[in-house]
Amino acid sequence: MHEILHHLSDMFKENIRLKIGSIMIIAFVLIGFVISFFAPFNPEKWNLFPRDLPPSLKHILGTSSLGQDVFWFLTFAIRNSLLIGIIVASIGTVVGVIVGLIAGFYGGLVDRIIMTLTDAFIATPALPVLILLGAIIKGKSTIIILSLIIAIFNWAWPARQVRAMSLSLREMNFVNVAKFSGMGTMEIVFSDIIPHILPWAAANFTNTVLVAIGTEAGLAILGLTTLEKATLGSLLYWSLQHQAMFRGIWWWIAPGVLSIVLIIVSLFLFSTGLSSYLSARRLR
Amino acid sequence: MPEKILKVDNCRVYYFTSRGINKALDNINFEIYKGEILGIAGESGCGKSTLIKSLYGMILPPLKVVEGKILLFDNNDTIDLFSLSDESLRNLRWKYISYMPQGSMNVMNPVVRIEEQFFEVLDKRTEGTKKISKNQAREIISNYLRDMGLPSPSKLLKSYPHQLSGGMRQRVILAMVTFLNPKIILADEPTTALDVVVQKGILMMMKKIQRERKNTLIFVSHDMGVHYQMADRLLIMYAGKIVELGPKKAIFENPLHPYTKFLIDSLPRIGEKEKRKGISGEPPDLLSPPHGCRFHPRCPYKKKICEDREPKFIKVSDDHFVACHLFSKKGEMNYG
Amino acid sequence: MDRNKTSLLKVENLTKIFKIGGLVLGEKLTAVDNVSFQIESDKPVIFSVIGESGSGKTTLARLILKLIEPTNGKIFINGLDISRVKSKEDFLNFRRLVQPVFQDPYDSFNPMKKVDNYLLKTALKILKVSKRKAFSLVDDALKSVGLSFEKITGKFMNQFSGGELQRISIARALIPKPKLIVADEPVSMVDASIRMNIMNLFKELNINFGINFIYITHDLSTAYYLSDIMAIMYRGNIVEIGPSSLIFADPLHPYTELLLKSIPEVGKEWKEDIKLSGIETEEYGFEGCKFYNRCPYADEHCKKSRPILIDKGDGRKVACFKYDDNLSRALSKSLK
Repeated sequence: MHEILHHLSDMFKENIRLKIGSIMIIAFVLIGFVISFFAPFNPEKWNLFPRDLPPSLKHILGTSSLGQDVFWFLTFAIRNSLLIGIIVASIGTVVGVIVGLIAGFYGGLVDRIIMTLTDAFIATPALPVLILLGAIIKGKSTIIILSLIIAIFNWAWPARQVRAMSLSLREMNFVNVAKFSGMGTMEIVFSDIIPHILPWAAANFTNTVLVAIGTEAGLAILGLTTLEKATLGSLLYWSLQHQAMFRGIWWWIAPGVLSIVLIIVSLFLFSTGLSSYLSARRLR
Repeated sequence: MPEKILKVDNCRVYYFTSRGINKALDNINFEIYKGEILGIAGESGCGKSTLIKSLYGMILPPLKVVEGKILLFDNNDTIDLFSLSDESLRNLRWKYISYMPQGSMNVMNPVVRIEEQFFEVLDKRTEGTKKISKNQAREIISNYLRDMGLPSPSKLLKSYPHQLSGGMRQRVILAMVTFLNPKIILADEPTTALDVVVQKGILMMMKKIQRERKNTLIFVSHDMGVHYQMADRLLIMYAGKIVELGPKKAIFENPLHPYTKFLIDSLPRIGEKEKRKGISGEPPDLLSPPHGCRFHPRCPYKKKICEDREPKFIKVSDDHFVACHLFSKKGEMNYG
Repeated sequence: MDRNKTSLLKVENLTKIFKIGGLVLGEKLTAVDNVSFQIESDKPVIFSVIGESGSGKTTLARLILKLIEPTNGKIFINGLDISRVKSKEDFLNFRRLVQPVFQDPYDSFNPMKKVDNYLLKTALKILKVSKRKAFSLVDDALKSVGLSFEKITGKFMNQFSGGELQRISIARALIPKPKLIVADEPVSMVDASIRMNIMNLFKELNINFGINFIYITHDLSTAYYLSDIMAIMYRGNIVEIGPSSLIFADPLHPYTELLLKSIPEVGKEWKEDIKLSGIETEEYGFEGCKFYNRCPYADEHCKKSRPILIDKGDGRKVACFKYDDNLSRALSKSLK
């Protein structure tokens, strides 16, 4: 335990990107998962309040043209967008790591089949396919289904990276020594390979959260996601639909845009900070 | 008395790490003579690389100068290297003092042609004078490489560092380092990663250049065999301290410090198969070096005083210094 | 298989070709090129394989350890055809017979695992003994390298020095009491003061436990100190093989001669200049002798055809036309 704390304090020392990134992420997690819990009503419901009220003490961020409280809607949107990001990143990273490990460790025909498949997924342009799938769903799906769809395009790249890493780890002498100590393949994978991949997987995870939140927002603006659910994307969609910008209802659109930008910046800072820490540690 | 070109005066240079203070150089005092090859020997972590870095004025965090001076003597001028600004240090480098590291890739940019890297060095020479054309520069450099015995210079100049073998790269670096004919050349394990045959070629080349131009060569190696081939005088370091300094002949024929004795005795020699004894223990951790003489935990001649008091660096004979309690000022020894 | 019973190691037409680069534009590199030899001895031996970087010595070690599969050819260890080692049981038997020690002690252990784990696993899994027996076997092995289970238990790699770690890695290899330990440059990363201890440890283990060693190295002087038999490799071929005392006293192959002249030895100062080869990789593709362009004795014949190892009768074999009597006779005849 003490070791871990030492590592963590080491990690944040002199790493401003990591520090700022983490503080911002923590803030968003608090808004999304703690504050949203105290919502006095369901902010997704329409016409609970008069429309287009500017910010006041009663409605901190005013109300929307749909008669929703923007602040509470925003907390729900942040929660759902983060959820999408986390689900996509979890699926993408776990599947990627497993597939990459299998390819890298078994080699031969298995490797070639898997690599052809991942190449196909990497080469396929994601946007047209996502638009097609979104059009089929027509804005009426659940957060889970939406996450699964985005995840389809987020496992192949990690799989490739993990394969490359396990190929080079497999050549490390400590793996050879483990073999000559009678350790089996499974034991070697779990004790020698996976621990060395985990830090990378953490960086990949944050990156994928970022990509997934961005993808959801993009699809939503095109009207292709779960529009009756509060997400950062649907917030933008409805505000754009009602021409909030031209009608001067800035309190509806600005919080959404600002949140997306800030979430993406914080995740970006965190993941680059983490990678630079990890590469510095490797050099030592 | 030979003329001195450099003096290390009571230097303490430490690494300030998160784990503590690593006393990489502690109380270092010695002089370097003009036109000599000074070999610096010792094991990894003894401070020899830190010494070379300090001599080049390359003090980067976590490395810090705690105390002391490094004095350069040029004609009637005396310069303290540590007091120089970055700008004046840069002016000194390549022209007055140059540095050849172990891995050639540390000074070469892998994606820039050799030619371009040479132009940069040449620019330092021609600073302030009128510009010369690229072709003229190429001519000067090719001629220089030819003089150094490097094969097909024009082809060499057009290639990228990664296209050359390790030995060839190291020879190109040697050419760059000596190009502006600096007074002092620092070389930190310049042949360590190379094969023996290539190593010999480069060492002979270095020695030839030094003998012809009479510059001062300060040469770090862990290999006593290499020092035997190269050095005029030898400096032996152990755990951040100088333990012995003297002419090569004296060091090899009459080593004084038990550590030097061991370094020389432990070398396997071709033609002699009898068992050579090792030495017990391991070099100390410089975060918490042993009290008294830093070698005492491993020393077969250890006495009570060795644990308590640090030995002084004393002159035993004309040009032979040692830091060991076994020796008194008159050079009487007592291995008792 | 009876005829293989007596020989410790027998290598037949061993070839390993690596593909470098992509599928289309990839190049082939023959790291080990049709190598055959046999080590026979009544008493346990230390066999050195000497070569510079790119000689194929490490590839040979990896082939013997079955870490990679040969492109062609066979290896027999103590009569066991290692290409037949396939099932789990086979591998257990193979690892009871052969164990490795690698160059860099710091990459021989996973930094996130406790070091004692490797030793206990070796006893438990390779020898399939009880836990109690395993502890005592591990302790015995550690004691024979000057350590003990108490000293290492519960510690991670970074809590040991390089010398200690290398001794632990030797202790681990000792646990199954293998017939053969393959040591790939085991002392090139450790300091001089510890190097001798490890060399002497190999000697003791060889005599006291009857363990055979294959010592892979670029360092001729330690090879001379340690080994009974040695092979010199050049660009994938063995150019000379035989008792080390004979080879050092009177090298036959011009390459061996060159290597011996390049050792930086104390007591013998270098005089003559040597030729360095500039472009190394090209030599792999040579049709004739790969040493042709560096050899002072080479003639047209050496350029056209490749010499094979011929028995010199005194226990030595050499691959050089200088010593091929039949050929010289045939040549002189054709000249007439």
